Amino acid sequence: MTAKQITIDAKRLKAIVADSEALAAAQRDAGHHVRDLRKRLSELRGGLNPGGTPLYADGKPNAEKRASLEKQIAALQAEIAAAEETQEEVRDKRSLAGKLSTKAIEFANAHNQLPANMESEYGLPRRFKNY
Amino acid sequence: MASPAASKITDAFSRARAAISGVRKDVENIRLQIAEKQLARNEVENAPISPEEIEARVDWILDTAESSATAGSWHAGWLSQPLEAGTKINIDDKVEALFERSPLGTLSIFGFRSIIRAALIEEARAGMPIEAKCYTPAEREAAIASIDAEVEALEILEERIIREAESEGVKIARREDANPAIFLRYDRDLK
Repeated sequence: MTAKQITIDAKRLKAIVADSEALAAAQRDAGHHVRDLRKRLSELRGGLNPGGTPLYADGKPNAEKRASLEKQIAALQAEIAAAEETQEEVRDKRSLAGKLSTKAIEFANAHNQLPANMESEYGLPRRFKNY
Repeated sequence: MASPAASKITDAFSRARAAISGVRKDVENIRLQIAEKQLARNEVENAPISPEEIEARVDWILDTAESSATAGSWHAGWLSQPLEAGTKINIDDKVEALFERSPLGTLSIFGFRSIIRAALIEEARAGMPIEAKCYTPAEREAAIASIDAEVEALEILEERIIREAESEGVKIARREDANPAIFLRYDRDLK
């Protein structure tokens, strides 16, 4: 296939772009999830009052509650670590998918083979089209 | 102790894992070959030009320098023109003007061209890496085209493996520098 005879598989192009968009959404979700977990962690730590020990209503230290909170905090920290690892994996995948998607769209535009239903979002302005 | 059925399943999964690992290694091997070819292409692109091209380039440099030196205002004819009595010839001003426009061109005009030419050609040869392979334009174009064809064949093979694996549920990520002219082809165009 010469440069002049290239025919793009539009279905494949759309799949690559869709994959990139899905990963972008997954990256956003992963970021929100980590943020929510950190917010929860902050709330739990706040439960360990300023003095570091939860108190009963009468002001006496509640060691049981402290132990429970610390256990929850440890579990949440492990969950955050796992979520951050997932976030990083998704970010790397998203980065690669985004680059391939951009290359694919640029290639399709350069050969005037961008599918019609992608024109509005990814097409070149008319003055740049190579008619 | 595992039942025969469970052992069969375990063996099947082991074989499947080994097959997947083998496919990934095949892709890695192809990618190494592509990287090697791209290095070779860079070497050809940056390889020195041929001795004939060097000489032609040096001649062009000297011709251009001489033209710059004499641009518009110098002609040796004034040396043989009759002069009115008492006219002073300020040769220094005339030569200074030449030198201002092009020192190299001036020296070339005044008889040093062959010496300068030989020196520049020798300088070019001395600046080449030892055992450098030189290319004429036609040789360079042919060598690059040959390497590009080999890279394309490898990229097609890589893409076929990736698609085959994908159809079997195994995801192999494409390279960041994967060629859209390959990965956007129809299956029938990957032969």
